[in-house]
Amino acid sequence: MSENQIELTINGIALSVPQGSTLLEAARQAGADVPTLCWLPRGGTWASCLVCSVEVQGMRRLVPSCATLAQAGQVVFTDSDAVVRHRKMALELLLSDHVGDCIAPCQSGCPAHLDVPAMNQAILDDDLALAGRIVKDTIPLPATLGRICPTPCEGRCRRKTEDGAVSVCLLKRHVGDHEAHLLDPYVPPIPPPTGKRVAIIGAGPAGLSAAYFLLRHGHAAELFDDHEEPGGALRYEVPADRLPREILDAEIDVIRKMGAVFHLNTHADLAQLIPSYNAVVLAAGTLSEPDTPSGIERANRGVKVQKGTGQTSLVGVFAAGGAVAPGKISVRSIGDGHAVADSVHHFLTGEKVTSSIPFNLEVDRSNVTFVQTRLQLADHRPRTVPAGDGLSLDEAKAEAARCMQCGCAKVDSCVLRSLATRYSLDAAKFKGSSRPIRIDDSHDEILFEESKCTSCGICVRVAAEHGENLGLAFHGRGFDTRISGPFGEPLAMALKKAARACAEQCPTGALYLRPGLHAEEHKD
Amino acid sequence: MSLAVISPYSEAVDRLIEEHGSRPDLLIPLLQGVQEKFRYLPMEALRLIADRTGIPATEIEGVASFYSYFRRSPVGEHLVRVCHGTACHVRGADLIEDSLRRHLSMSPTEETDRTGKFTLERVACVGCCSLAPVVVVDQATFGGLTAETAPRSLVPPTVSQFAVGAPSGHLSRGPIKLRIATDSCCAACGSLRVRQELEVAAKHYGLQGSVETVSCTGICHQMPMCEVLDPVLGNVRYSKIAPGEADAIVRRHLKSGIAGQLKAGIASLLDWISSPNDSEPLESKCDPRDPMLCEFIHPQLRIAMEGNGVTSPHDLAAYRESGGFEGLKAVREAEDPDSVIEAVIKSGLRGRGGAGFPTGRKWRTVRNASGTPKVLICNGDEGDPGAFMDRMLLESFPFRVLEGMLIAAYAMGIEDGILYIRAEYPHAVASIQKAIEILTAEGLLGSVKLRVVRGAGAFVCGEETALISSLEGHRGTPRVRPPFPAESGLFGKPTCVNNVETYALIPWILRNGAEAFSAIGNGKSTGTKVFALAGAVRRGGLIEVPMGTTIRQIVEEIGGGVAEGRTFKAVLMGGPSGGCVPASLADTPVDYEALQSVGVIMGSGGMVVLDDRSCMVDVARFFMTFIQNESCGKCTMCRVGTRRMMEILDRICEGQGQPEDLDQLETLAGAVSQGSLCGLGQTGPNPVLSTLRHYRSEYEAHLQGRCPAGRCTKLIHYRVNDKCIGCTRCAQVCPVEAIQMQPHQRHIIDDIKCVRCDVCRLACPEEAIVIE
Repeated sequence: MSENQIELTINGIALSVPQGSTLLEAARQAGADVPTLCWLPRGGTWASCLVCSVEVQGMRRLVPSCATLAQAGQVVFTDSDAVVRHRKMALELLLSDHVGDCIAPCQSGCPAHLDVPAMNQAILDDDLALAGRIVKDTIPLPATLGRICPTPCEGRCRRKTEDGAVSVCLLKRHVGDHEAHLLDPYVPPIPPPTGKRVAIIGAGPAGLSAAYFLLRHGHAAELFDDHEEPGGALRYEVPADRLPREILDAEIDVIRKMGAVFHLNTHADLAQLIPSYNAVVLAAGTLSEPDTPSGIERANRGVKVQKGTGQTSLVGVFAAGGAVAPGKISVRSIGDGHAVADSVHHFLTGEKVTSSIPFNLEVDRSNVTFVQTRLQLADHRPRTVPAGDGLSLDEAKAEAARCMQCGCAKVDSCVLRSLATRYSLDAAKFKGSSRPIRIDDSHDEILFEESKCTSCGICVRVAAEHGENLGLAFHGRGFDTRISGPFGEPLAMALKKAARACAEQCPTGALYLRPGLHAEEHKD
Repeated sequence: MSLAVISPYSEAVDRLIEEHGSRPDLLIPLLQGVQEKFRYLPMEALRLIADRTGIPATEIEGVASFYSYFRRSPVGEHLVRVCHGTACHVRGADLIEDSLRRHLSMSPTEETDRTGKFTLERVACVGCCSLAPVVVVDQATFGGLTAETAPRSLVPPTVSQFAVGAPSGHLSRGPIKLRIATDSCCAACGSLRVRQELEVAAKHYGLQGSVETVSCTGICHQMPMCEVLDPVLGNVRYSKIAPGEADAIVRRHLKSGIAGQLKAGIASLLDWISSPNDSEPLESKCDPRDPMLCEFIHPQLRIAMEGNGVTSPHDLAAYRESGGFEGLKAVREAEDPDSVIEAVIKSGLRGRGGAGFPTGRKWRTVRNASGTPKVLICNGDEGDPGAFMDRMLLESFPFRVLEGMLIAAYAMGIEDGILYIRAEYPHAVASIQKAIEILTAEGLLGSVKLRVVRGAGAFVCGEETALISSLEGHRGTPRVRPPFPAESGLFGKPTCVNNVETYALIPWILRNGAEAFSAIGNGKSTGTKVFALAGAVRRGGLIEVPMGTTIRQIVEEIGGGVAEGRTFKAVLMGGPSGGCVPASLADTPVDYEALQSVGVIMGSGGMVVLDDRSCMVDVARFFMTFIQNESCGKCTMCRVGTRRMMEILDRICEGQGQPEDLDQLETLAGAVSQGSLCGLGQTGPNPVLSTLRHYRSEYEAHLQGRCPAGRCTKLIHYRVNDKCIGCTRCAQVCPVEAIQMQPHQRHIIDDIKCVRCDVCRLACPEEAIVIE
């Protein structure tokens, strides 16, 4: 052994690390996934979040691994019960002082989970193509739904109680119509075929949605329907003056282009399909008790399924839409189809079929300050009343500008959220006061949403690294420690060089690029 | 960026930079200079400092907003500081603040009243615990206030009540000595005025003697007190001297001299004519064999406080006469630093700051550590809001503390010594600075350089790594240990940090031998310990007892127990890091291990006695509020965890608690103490754990909406019972007109208007007002 190496044991694995390594470095070398929040891979130690703490045998207390040097002979545990308990506690305490929406209420309220804020931003940015892709990530039939949806999303819009909800449905229709009228509409990319075949009984909204998302996973999708044409209730129950059939046809045509095979005028029999397909989805709408295939258990109103996955009592058979509970609105059937497609995908790839709902934090509706603060950032005009049928481009942009962008800009990259999901945390465990709800919008590139700050100090260090003249400072102490420009200076004065770097390295959605700006547009 | 524009602050900032220098570690003194000049930190002055010194603006902002001493907005004409230390709290500091706010028509969050005349500040502790509750208005300290009397402190005093160690030698030395102590808390009781009166009277009557300012006697409950050494009458102590009584004291000790006698005679006559008849006869105050005083003094053993009440703080000759600097001399002559460390190890001395780490072992680590120059620090950032022995030692025995430091410096080969003293202790700072000047002039420092650095109001800076951050000019945030300061401390150099009292014990050990010291005490806790005895005890004060003395001996024998009609409930030890020892465990001896076994710590020496009027949930809430105020805010557990704990306790005290709150409180307490980075967070939950352990039923009563001690204002109601004689006193004193004046009838308290200030209950001559 080299003189400059030391040996220690981490999670039962003996290893040798260079002298001067921290326990964090050693643990990572041992393959342990030790999470961090306030740690920067350079420039000394800080040790404030305590998320990386580990247990060292013989020491009375847990130690922050990022700031503790590895010593010869140490026996370290990175995931013992004590460590996990401590880590969860630290994270839940941080969450108790973290105010914001992970996912905007409109998006979580939409049964299909349309990313409404992102769509609105794309419309505002004059990028209807992008808006189309965003919509089609969750809704295969936006122009169709845009005419018939009862808009649960708008019911949850934070502006509803102020001056009317954002017209999400009409905006979505605007995007969908734009696509539907293109000669060469967007066809989502299809990965290489997996060779798995899925039979879908019913070509209504749930079945079409299931097919669409299965295709996007690379599986073959074949739809069986006893009607002459696909669309189910959309075609046979909705009046044509509400939903012009060419719109529905255009959107179904995209699914066909993606590779869906339609067996129309065909009555499918589950028992016959099972041996020929890798999986079957029951999506033919309301299923009466006598019609329920044998071997499929029923609940009160329809087929009994595992919550969130659509898995029935028969392995490999899934159910979505009205088959599970009659009278579902189309957007819910579409959401169901999506969820079932994901479950089937898990089933086909040998993964465990579970519904994993990521952690979500949502600000209480009674929080007036939150709404007022966000309102500052949005267009102040009242809800647009369209002059004609649907929104014109200008009207759409005006309406999109009303969106307060409630969701979190870092929803997919937030360290706090990913750890909250990983450890199944309860955000409401600790009640009490929290940071002020304020947004510093003085800077033209970034926004600072104080209530999402964790006082990790990464931005303070990054600003200093960039040699900012003013930079960011810790202000005050204790629970009321805040990050701010020194001497009351706003962000615009404090950060002349490091703004983007600070926004990118902030582990939560406290500092982020203004909507519409993208990371790659680095100035320097 | 250059600020070329002439600014009103420019000249002052330049002068301060010239005076202090522009090194980043001097930022705190620089900011203190600015605040002393402008009474707050004007933003423009801060910008100028950044501009002129090159210290990063972020650092200046961070420091200026971290320390509670610094104010960011202008203040009113007078600064009213309400002490919220432990002793003040248990004696009703909240009621005092409420009363002042009511008087000044200030809302609970306003800082300055509408006239701009008074700014009100809450302070953690001014270190006058035996006078609780205390309010400091500008330079004047007022003790023993009630909600009714508190507003009287707002009448600005005519004479400055403070001056430390002012020379008193303008009288010729004679056979009679009048000794009076005038350190901070004595001065607050009026000792300075008494001294002035004594001097005037002595001069007036031509008394053959001198008035001497001496060190703290520790007998705080008898202040202002004067001891007269009279060869004829013997030694006489006069306690609780009222204004005007000094004259009579001097007269009593007048010797021959017709002129004097004559003058005295006339004065007596005038007295007889003019004096109101309500004062006690002087004689009753001066029994030299006062049994109460004997009980107070007898069980004590003074090592750190040796010569208390006798020696003058800055009388070097007297200090030498009593053996001072013998230890240092011997050490320097022996030229064997290792033997000094050996002696300290052998004495068994453990750090008096609270944790009790063996002092000698720390010294050896520093001596053996590589890296120079090494640094010696005296930790005088006495943060426990119920303790003031370090202040007293610095004020009254500065030479002893410095001698201890010089011995330590010699033993470890250190030439750079720093005394870090709380900014709240201006007299301690002045006293130690004066002592350093004297020793420098006498050439006693040798090659050692000593300097005083004032803290800026942060309890966490009592933690050694946070103290070091502060000395480096940063926010007082702790660092992860190891490395320990003994190996890598101030600017990465080996640093020895010891508490004031620890240094004060060193000279005695070197002079009398390690064995003599280790013979005192109990097991692994040797020597003596100084305690600040305060709270609901009859004889509060500063006491020094051998380790191993029981808590009961301290409270009942020395302290004389609690007031008549009340029962001794518990003592609080170790301040916000300690906990409570219930009366049932009062036979526990004060030694490190025994205290730990009952769930408290020795701490720095605060001992606050509680009687049955104290609510233990309220006490836990008080400490938790303190801790979360003082948390530096760095690590998650302490920053958020202590706040959540405080909020739960707030809910419980306000009757909003839920049964599950107690479990969550315990879970949080465990997590905060397990997971926090430094001692503040690690020990902060102790008062909660300790009160939950011994007084869980009180918590449960609060969950049911009752405060058994009748203390939590949201859970109590004031009622008039049938003892009421209709004297109207209560109605007269009620500050919110909740009681209508109904002569000769039983009065009624309007529960909605009532603010629970307790003024009526205290005013009632018939005990007719009760708390339900």
